[in-house]
Amino acid sequence: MSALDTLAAPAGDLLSRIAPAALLAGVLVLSVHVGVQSRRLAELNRDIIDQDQQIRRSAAALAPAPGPPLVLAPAPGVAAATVGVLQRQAAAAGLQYVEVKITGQRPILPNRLLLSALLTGTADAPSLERFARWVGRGQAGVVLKRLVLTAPPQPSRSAGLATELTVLAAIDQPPPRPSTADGA
Amino acid sequence: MTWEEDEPDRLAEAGDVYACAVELPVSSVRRARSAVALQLDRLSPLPVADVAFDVAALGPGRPGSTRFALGIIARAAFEPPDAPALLHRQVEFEGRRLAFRFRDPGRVQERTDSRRVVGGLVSILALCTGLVLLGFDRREARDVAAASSRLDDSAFTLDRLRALKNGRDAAAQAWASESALQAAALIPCAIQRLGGGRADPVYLTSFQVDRSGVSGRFSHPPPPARAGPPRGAGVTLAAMAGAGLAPGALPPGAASAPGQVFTIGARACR
Repeated sequence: MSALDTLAAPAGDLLSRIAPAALLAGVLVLSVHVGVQSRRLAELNRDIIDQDQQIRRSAAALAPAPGPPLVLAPAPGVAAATVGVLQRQAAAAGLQYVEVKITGQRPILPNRLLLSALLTGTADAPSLERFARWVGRGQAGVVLKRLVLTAPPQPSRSAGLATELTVLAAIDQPPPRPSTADGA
Repeated sequence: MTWEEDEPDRLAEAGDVYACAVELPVSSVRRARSAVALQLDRLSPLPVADVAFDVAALGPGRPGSTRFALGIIARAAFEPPDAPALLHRQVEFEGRRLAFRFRDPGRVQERTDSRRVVGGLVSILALCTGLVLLGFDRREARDVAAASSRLDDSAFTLDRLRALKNGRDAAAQAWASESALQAAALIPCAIQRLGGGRADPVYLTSFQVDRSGVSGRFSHPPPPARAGPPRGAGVTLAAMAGAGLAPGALPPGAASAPGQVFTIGARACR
């Protein structure tokens, strides 16, 4: 009788008993894992529902962007468009020798800019009043911050005009192009 | 591990039991039974199929070995219908009284077979359950991954919305503070107040408007060098006194000194 035979017999017997036990233990461990995963899934679903509600609430409470803007133009041309609009309005009001300079700009939203403009020219009372009424309509996206009229040395119906304005401008963003990598 | 096998020695027969001594490289009786079962054909005086056996410890043998007494009984002892499945026999062997317990090999085999069947069924059941659970587990893992991803997307959207809300609030505030500086409405008001139909000419030398109000400088009557019709932004200040404008001391027809200053407060034009 060899030692190998002596040890192999009980080993085989043991294996036949261990196999079902090991399988049962594996099933038990797997059941626990499935249970833990189910709980995590339930928690995640609860969190998703909570977050969806928060999204709906936040979207409902979202304030509209300030506006309407005076100018809507693509980003590179906002300043030029603003100058053009102010010049046209000044000319329409009757102001003369109008020159508009953009002295500063600052973004207040990704698609909204506040531009500071200095308008110089000459004005008489009626044209000044017309221009002021256009600015003062309130919804034109333009604010008159300061106006200075200086009488010329020689008698004249017009006086030198310098006006500081703030303009609300919107950047016209084209909608994103559909990706061509999708096999279009 | 090797060991020298002892031939069964000191074969004894006590009643229906044959006994002999064997030396095995194991220490427990249970293992000794398993070892003997493999070599029973060489140790038994009867065919293996016709016997039952048991082992009892005798004591230490050579180094690494233990001496056991092997008891063998003919299977015929279990054949009577009322025979028990377990037979007890006391045997005198090497001057010691040994107790053997013989199990009916047929019933032992039946029990082993049934145990194997049950074990097999349990294994198959466990395997099937395990496979089902594994499939369920995989599906849940996919669901958890999808839910996590969706939660991340929701969190990103929520952050964007919050940032957008904060940005819009700040933008609205910035625009509101700029709009509060609006002074345009003061100009028509001031012109209306200054430009009454009075005939006494006032020469306006400067005119300034901001949020706080309107201020200006005028001369009345116009300085000689600037003689002419009322001008200075084209505004006649004839109605200043009537409108209650500062300096307020301009009764109709009264003369004011050149360089006199006037002011219209923002409140007056609301």
